[in-house]
Amino acid sequence: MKPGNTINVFIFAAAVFLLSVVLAHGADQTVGMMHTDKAALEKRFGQKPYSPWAESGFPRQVYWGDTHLHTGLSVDAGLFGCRLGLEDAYRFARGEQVISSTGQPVKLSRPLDWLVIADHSDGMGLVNGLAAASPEVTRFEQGSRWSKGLRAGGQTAVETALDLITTFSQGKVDPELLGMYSPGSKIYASVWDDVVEAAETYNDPGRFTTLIGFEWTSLVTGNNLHRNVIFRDNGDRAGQVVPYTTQEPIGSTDPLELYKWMTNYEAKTSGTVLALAHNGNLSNGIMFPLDVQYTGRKLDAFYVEQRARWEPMYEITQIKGDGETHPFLSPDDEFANYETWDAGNLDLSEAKKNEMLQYEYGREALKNGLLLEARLGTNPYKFGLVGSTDSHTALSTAEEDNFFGKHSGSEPSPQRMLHPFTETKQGKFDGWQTVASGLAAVWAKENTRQAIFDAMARREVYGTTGPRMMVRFFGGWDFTLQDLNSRQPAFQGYEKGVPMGGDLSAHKGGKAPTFMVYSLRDPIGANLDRIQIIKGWLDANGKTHEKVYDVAWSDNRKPDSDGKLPPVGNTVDIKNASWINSIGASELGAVWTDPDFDAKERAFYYARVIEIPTPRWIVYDAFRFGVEIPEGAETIHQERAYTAPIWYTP
Amino acid sequence: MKKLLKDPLLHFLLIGAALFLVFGFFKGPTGNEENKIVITQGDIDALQANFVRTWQRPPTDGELSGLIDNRVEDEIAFREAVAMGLDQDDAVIRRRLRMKMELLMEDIAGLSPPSDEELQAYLEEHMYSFHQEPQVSFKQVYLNSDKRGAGVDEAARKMLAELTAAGPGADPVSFSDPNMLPKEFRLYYASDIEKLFGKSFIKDLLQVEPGKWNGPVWSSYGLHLVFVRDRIEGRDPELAEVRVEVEREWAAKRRREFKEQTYKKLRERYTVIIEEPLSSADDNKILTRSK
Repeated sequence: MKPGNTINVFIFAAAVFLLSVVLAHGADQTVGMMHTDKAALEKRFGQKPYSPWAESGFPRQVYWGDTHLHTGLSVDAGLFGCRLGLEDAYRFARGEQVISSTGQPVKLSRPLDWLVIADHSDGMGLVNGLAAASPEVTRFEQGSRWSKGLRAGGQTAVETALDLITTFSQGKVDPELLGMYSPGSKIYASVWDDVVEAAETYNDPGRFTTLIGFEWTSLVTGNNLHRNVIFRDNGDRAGQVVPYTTQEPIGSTDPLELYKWMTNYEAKTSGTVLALAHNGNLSNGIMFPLDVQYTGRKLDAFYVEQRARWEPMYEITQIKGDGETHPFLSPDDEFANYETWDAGNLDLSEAKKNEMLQYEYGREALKNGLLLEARLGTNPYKFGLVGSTDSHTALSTAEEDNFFGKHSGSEPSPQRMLHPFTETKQGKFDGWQTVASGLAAVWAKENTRQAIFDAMARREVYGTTGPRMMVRFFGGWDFTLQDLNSRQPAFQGYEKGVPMGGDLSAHKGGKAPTFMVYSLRDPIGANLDRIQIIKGWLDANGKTHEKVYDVAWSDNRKPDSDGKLPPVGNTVDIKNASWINSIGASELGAVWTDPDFDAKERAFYYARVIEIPTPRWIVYDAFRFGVEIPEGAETIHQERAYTAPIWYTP
Repeated sequence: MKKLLKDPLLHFLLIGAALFLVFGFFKGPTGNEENKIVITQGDIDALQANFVRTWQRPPTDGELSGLIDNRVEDEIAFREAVAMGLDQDDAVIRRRLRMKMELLMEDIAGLSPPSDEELQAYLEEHMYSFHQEPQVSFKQVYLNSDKRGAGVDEAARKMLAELTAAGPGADPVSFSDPNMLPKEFRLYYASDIEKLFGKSFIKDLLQVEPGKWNGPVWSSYGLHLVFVRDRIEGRDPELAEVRVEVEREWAAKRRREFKEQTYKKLRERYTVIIEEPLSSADDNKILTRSK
């Protein structure tokens, strides 16, 4: 960062040292201080409605959730011993204590606001809904007896159920009655019906929202192309279909076929859906193609339009690694090597090669999206960023000190960090490498299915690796420090610009865009080290570039002559699994103008908020179980938030 | 050769061949009758139903014959695999069957609806989980203790006097230090306030006297002066207000109990023999067997 840019940096929180800086900067900076001018106060009285939000249509609150949780209904989760179902998953997410599959009581520090249970669609097909009550059943002697017994409840129901099971297993059921339960009959039900019903039962608009969803688990020779599909709709629409699978002949592993299914769903039910991909890092170069799809099909206008149409978000961080960028792709980014999983593809049947990386990571995809837009007219990789867990335990846990692992076999135990997650001749993902991540933050107008979905669709979302820091990010043409220091910067943000996920188009005179970004740390979490803005752009020669700018930081640090900011320090005590907020800031903010702007070049900008160093989950394990941390295991990290970008198009 | 012997694929083929010889020879699908695969109209209806629910239209003739072909191959693979004993000791198959069995039990458990008396009794017994949280309407003015340093207490005292003078209409926005937290809240639930401000803040907020400016109240960010306009105290609800929730909880409990009871009853039909561990040196065996 050039020294001149420091003028643009205003840190409005934290560190006691800061006061002197603030004063040194003069009049501007006192705007944020105590305001007791009587005349000014009087001027304000009686002019506005009591609630300053009454006439504002923008989202005022961030809602925290997980777009990607598996329960015991997912075959792989069940195989690893997950005994918890949909009901347990919802109860846990809304803040109740539950008993995990390994018998351990577990509770979240704070409830989530919303949850998408995304069990694998393969295996959710039709199963026999034997017990569905139906008047047609009761005309049979057996049917009527069972129906009566089961409805009686209590011990009678148990006895009846056993009688029913025995009669079935001995083949003594009236064949005509049995026919009613045969495949294809009216009372045949699917696991999906249970999924939809549970979502309906636990949806509590305003308090806890359940969005209906599933995971389409496309795996091509071990290369991960998974997508989660989320419905805006209630069960009356979502329940009309069954989820799309990867099994031929009905299903497919090609995303274009998934889009076709989504198109069809919307057309036939008047419903609304979106999809988001995850774990490009385990796709071995096929998640974000630039020239051809893995099928050999060349990328064309149709592909880029479809992908842009259906995938407004990307899950950039989760248990199986962080997907923002890779040190090989971003050698100048000192924070690039964060929770990197680059040994190979999902099942480690093939080792990673460097040339695959450019088609796997979020930032590179954002860059290549600009190139594809220039080439084909649409940017297929124009997505908001979220984090989610991908837990297979029915427990959405993303906190380091409360992490229940990837699957039930990796719930807390003294040995869990030692067991490899996957190991083949091609490489290894160590158990300690699993990431206690992440969360999806949504700036929505209210906590309902529709409002949360709409925020996702307009990309007003950000992802974190677990902590709940609040982040606002706006782009416009004339943001000033006064806007940031005004007591309600969000009003200025929406009035003068666009929020995260938005678009800027050319401004007359080739003026450089300005960005207002600010963040408040998690109320029970670590302080903030810095806020960065990451810019990616496409030059006149069709080459993409990226640059990371520090825009706000704590503790009055001074960048060195190369513009590099010194590290924030470290308070982590590994032995006692603790840290303190004696460094960093509880709140940071800045208004920043792109110093290298070229009005002719396509670009995107997103903010990355970095926390001070804290212990990883294995440190809490070591402390609580009294075990040694394996050599080479990462113990300390800096958690972070990634906002959806704002795009500039000439 | 040594490498070849270690190859899992070779193992698979050898075991498969052995199983085939053992099972296939004696009870494999040999006779004409056993080798008959009938795809019934019911099967076809099921294939169609799944297709229709996926695509919201019936399959074309070509698609349907593809589905049927696939179903035939499914059946062949299934029979041959079972004949080879491949279904034995397969964790996925076992887990899947158990899941289906339990879904069935849950379905059955859901068939007997609760009476009003049962719900009332459940509500009374579990009142703590239906307790209606307090709700608060309030305004807050934030004082940044980091930035103000030692002077913050004095500043808070002074500002409290000013706010008191300005009265209930005082606009918190024009007093507060900059901060991302909202300044005004209309009937927020206590737990939602806690999510934003932390535990100690909500505890104190529920204690302050409504209708006047109070403080300072500490949050995890610093000091706040607060004006509580309205507070709805927490209370125990009537059944009518929370009937949906009570039914949901009651049904969940019922399903759990029904499952437990059914397993218990089914167990009575079996003689379970758990063999003593052969050698105390083998910890793993002890663990598994003593379960």
